Amino acid sequence: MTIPEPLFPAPPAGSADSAGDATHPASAKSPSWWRRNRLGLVVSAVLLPATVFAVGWENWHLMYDFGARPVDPIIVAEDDSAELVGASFGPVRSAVIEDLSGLDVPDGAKVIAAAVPVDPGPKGVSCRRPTLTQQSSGRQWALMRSEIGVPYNPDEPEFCSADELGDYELIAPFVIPEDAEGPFWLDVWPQDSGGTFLRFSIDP
Amino acid sequence: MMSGVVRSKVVPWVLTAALLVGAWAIVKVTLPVGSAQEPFVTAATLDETASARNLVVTVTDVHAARAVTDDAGWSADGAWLVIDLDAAAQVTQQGASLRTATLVVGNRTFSATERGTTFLDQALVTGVPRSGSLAFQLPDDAWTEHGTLRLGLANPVLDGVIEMRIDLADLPFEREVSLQENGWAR
Repeated sequence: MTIPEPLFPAPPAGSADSAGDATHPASAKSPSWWRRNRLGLVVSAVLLPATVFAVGWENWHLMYDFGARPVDPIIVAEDDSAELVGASFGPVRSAVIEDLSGLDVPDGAKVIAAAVPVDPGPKGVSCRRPTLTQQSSGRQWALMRSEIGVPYNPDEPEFCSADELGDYELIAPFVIPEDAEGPFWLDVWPQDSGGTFLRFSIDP
Repeated sequence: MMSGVVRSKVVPWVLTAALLVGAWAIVKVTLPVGSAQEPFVTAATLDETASARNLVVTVTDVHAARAVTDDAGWSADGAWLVIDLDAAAQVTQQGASLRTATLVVGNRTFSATERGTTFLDQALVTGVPRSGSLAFQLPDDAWTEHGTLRLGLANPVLDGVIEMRIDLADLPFEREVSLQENGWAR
């Protein structure tokens, strides 16, 4: 192994033992460490926060951009409707279904059904199945149809299809515990809206 | 002269020893590979409700059987462990299906069977339990030990899982067991 040459020239011969001596003439006048490294310090002060920001933004972007997740709610008041991506949704009607005859619903649970009128506009609109969220707890429910014995019915769609150009109504039944009290959010997330979705307040 | 000897001979050895001891201590205190991703375990017992992050499970019965059947008419012979259970989601139904169902016996891990109609992969409902059965086909030499049943959602990395100890040797073999039909817990 070769030992590299020292970066700074060695002190003149004869003064080797007195290196670091407090009386060394250069140390009194040489600029301070901060001054000598000011370029590096300034660059670090810029690059360190920039790195933190870039890594954070990259992860946020991978997680939430591209419309991968609904992150940006538009809150719609009760009895109100809202427009998104050229389609109009609402006002939402909702009810607790009292007559459960013929439906497979266990004791200790109730069925909440919401109807969302959709005016798809001239181009049509696609959306996912709505979800239900309890405002007080954040507990979330997905649509339940086959589980309670309500088969698919083209007149009561559960999601929006871009092929449908006339007005129609989404029918969204949810099975929730009997003691879960409203108000709830009914979330409708149309396609091509990025992370923006409609959040209807309902209290059946 | 003496200080030169100390500097050139003693200091390197002392440093070497210190580094070796330090390395040994780090190896000793370091957790095994993958432990940073281990799930959070909740222990369960028979007929008692156990809850993890987004999963609530009650194991209602455990059988050993020489044959299993389901309500669709499927049946299979073998040495089967059948678990009857109720399960629900706790927070959200998104991603909430019972995908992780394994039985660890000794250093072997068995997955719940995908044959027949079982509760494996069943979607769970927030706060409203559904019920069904899981089945494990085990080799004969596994029945002398105890097993650990592990239940969780799709990806147990850093999520909550529910574990229950089952003494396989204590289970009496039944001739045939029917898998519970998947449906609401009654």
